[in-house]
Amino acid sequence: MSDEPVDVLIIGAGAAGAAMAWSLAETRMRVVCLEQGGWMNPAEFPSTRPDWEIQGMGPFGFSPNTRGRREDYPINDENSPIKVSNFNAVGGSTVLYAAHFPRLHPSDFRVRSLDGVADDWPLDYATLEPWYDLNAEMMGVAGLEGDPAYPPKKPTLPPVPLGRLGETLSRGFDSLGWHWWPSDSAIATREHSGRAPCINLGPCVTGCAQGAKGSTDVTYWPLAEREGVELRTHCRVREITVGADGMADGVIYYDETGNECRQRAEIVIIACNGIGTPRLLLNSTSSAFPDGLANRSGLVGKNLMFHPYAHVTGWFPDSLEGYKGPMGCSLICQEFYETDSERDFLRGYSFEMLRGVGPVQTALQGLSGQLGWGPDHHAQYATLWDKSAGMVIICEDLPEEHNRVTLDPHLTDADGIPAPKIDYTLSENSRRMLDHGVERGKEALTAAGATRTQAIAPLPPAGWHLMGTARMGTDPERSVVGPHGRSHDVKNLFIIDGSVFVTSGGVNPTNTIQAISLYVADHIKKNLTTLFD
Amino acid sequence: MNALLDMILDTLIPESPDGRMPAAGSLGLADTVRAEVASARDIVGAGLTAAEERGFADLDAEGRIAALREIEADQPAFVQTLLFPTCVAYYQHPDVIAALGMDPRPPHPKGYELEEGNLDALERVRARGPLYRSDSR
Repeated sequence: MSDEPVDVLIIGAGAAGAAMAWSLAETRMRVVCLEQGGWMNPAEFPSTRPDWEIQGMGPFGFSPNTRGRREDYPINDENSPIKVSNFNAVGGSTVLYAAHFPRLHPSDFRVRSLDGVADDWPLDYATLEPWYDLNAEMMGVAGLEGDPAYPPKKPTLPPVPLGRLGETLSRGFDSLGWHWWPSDSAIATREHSGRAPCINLGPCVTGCAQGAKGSTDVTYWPLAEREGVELRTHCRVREITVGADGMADGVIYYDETGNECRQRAEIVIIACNGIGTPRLLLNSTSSAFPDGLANRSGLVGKNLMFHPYAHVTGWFPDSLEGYKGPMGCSLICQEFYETDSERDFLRGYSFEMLRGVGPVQTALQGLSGQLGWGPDHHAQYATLWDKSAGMVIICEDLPEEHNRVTLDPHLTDADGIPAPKIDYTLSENSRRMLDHGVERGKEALTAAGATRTQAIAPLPPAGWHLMGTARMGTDPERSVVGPHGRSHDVKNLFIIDGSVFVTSGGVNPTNTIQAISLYVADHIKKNLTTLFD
Repeated sequence: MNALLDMILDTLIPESPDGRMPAAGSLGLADTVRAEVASARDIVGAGLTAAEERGFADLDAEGRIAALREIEADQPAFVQTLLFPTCVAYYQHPDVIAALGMDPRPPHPKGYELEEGNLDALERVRARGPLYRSDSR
């Protein structure tokens, strides 16, 4: 392999890396992306198999610790009530996400100014708005115009059908006079940019065999590669190296066969998610950066934010056809999203409706107490099968420095690179918010006709959203990167994933991650001659 | 031993009273279940021995239920170990899926039709006006 530096080296081919690669492609710079996973084959996704429900608990499960794929790295999350869920492949975690695709609210960027907690972002909703719009077109966002919970925005495609289940739940919100709206979803409800339309398979979270879900392996990457971006798969970066001038000069990585390789670069862009990014920075030590690259603030790995989730299930008397349709996308309720001084917590949360589960999951969930063996088995099962609808409550997580990612002193991945270790505790504000959400969720399900409800809070496997561990800001003492994603300490190093979030909002972050990536890419393109000043 | 295991599976999930849902053992799930519990061979072996000792094969349906309840009381891990893989194998069997009213096939490639749903009620939500806070005080 040539020792010539590439112009831009992107680490990670997920939500952020793909958007960045596509955007930079038009510059005709030499852009290379290193991804530790490979291309997924949609024909092998679980929904093509009779045992599709069980596959989602094993090789396509949320946790890298239980999947056992070489492409994944282990995560020591024993010291956290919320376990990390991610995926390593071309497309990253978008391969397995639900594709619920809301934006942050304008107030989410001004948490300190409005509510006196956490910090304000160094950018605002209006700044990101054009990049949200562009991302909606690129990812193919389905939704309905006119949601009063947001400033005006125009989805690209018609909304995902409510189905019988969604319509049933909407009646509950209506009877309470609460907000609800069809979800913004990165799902092609009509043919879009060569993607086949959604056919309501159900288990989006084990990969979309139809190719309708907007994972970046089917959205940005085909276009980026066509424009000349080089994507190297099964390449796991160990560390970013720096030259005598204190600039990043490339990376050391392991290829598919475990060979140690070197790639030099003029610009390095990290897009490894809120866990992988601090892991890589902390593992990139040198005499200039003994505590990890770009870590003179000491904040790399700190302020980890998940979204504490609760899950509330209701059982209804009639069939809901809940196994049909995108499981995570039907409607959203943001009645309790904005801070209300009458409540005993700051900030707020979203309700997102879930559809039902298939026959196997119905039985396995029932084994926790509602379903036994013997002569009553079928009568008990009949009260469960296709009778449940659920919702998740996504709470805003406020940043706290003691919630952090460090390097585990013992655990390593298949290439011997130290694994990340998570230390995280749930704040009192989050507990109060979860309690409020659970009670309101039960109220909504009951109003919709549920005869019985059950809640789990916090939901342990819900560490899908990984944010805050290389936060953005204007003060180098209080942040890791500046408003355009550039490291305060290393002038040719950019970070564009959820690590840069200052606060978390109470919605899924992927749309915002990609909007930031497109915004940073635009800044790079417009300032190439002065980028390192 | 598969014949005995099939009888136990029939007892765990028997045929439904209306005959619509088949019994688990009648579907020939013993091999599948046995493979899934291979790592718990001792637990399963002890339970099967206890069933044999109770003359399980010669009991009528009510007698088998009573015997299995006794074994469950003595060896709770036996029934717990069997029930999970039995449910998995049973509820993904084509005959069972059909009996539940679904097409016995994976979701892909045919997918499903889904009702669009009534969005008229959103006029009430829309009429509330902007619900989001301004980003300035």
